[in-house]
Amino acid sequence: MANSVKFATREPVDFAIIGSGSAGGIIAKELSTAGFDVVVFEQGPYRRAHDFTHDEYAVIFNDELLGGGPRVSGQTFRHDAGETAARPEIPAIRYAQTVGGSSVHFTANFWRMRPLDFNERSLLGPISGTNFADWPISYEELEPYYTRVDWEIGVSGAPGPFDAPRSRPFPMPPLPIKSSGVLLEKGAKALGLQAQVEPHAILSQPHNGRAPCIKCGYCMFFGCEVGAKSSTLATMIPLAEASGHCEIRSESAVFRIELDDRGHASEVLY
Amino acid sequence: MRATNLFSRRRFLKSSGALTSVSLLRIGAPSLLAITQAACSAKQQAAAYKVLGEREAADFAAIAARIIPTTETPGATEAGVIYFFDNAFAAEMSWALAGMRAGLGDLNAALAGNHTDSARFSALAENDQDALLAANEATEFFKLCWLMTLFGFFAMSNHGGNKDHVGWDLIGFDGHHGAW
Repeated sequence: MANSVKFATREPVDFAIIGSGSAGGIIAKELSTAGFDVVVFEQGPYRRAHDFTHDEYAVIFNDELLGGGPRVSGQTFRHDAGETAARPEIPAIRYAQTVGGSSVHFTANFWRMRPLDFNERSLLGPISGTNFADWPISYEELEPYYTRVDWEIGVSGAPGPFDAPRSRPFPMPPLPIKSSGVLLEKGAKALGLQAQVEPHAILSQPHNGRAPCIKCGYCMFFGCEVGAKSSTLATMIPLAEASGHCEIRSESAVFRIELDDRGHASEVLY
Repeated sequence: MRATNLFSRRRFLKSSGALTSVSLLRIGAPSLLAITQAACSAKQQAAAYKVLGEREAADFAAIAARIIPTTETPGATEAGVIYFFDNAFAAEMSWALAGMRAGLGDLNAALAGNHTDSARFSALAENDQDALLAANEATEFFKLCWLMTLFGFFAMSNHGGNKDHVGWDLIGFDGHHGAW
């Protein structure tokens, strides 16, 4: 699979996007399909669906998707500018270094926030020593975008009794409940609790030309070898590349953003 | 997973070579497949080790064989766990090789007249091997031997062990449901 467009290193483009994950992948698709020339810099390699394995030793113990762990991934950490950044024994943040970023290896649980989550400061009061605040936007303002994402990337689920209102139903029914879920549901009922299926950014049915889940069970930490997990790798990035305006430049770790005389970002060094 | 202090999972996560060790499979090009197949057939002919010497390999293999012994069912020997040790020491667990060699030296030094092969761990009777390992059960050396034996027995075969999926067969795991 070749990239549809490739820009020369010094060729100016309209947008340089650093990172190809949940944010970068979507921005790349939006901008490139609107006709802007875009280069997406991704520090990790360009793994395709068929590159993903169920290799627990490699993925879980050797951090294959995380750049091989802090010793080789280049991730450093410091508490403030007075410290020298060092490579910690335990990474400060564990995120995937691969095209699609952490949307590739996340569990794909896809809960929406509820209306009250936006107003917790008002509901609960201040917390001393923090800047705890309400969100500047409401669920109602965000809802159309939640719905747009659900339908564009493919989210499976069924409404539960405590869910926030949806302007449009889930695009597809939930994934089947596996044995452990059956036990949990039974236990919850015995305790008088209401169990409900999780919404997942995983296809339970074909959607937008993509095949559905094969129920292999390797979601958390792993990439999906059939492209059923609705990562930006499986959803947005193919659309961005098909626009003819987007190059995914993998294995390209940006380390500095240069500014012009006006203080605007002018180029990235990687 | 229960982890030890020195060789904890955290420490394990620092290891570095996984990308290299599985890159052949992930790239999946036909020419590389041929190389992989050649490597597999070489392994079946007891290919030379990458980093381990013959004598230390025999000792590590003997330790693994007491952790998962061969009974009426296959053990570490049949799974080729020693090739997992060798692959791991050559790549993602290279950081542990010096410490593990020192640990093996300590184990052999506990044997009288340790300068001959007949007094190495691998030459002891199984009962004596078990007694010596039991006496060293709390050492970081043994704990990592134990962990690596499990990895070598159950991890995917491309890491060197679990030959012909004997580890998976033993626990009734039928592989990956037709997927990778």
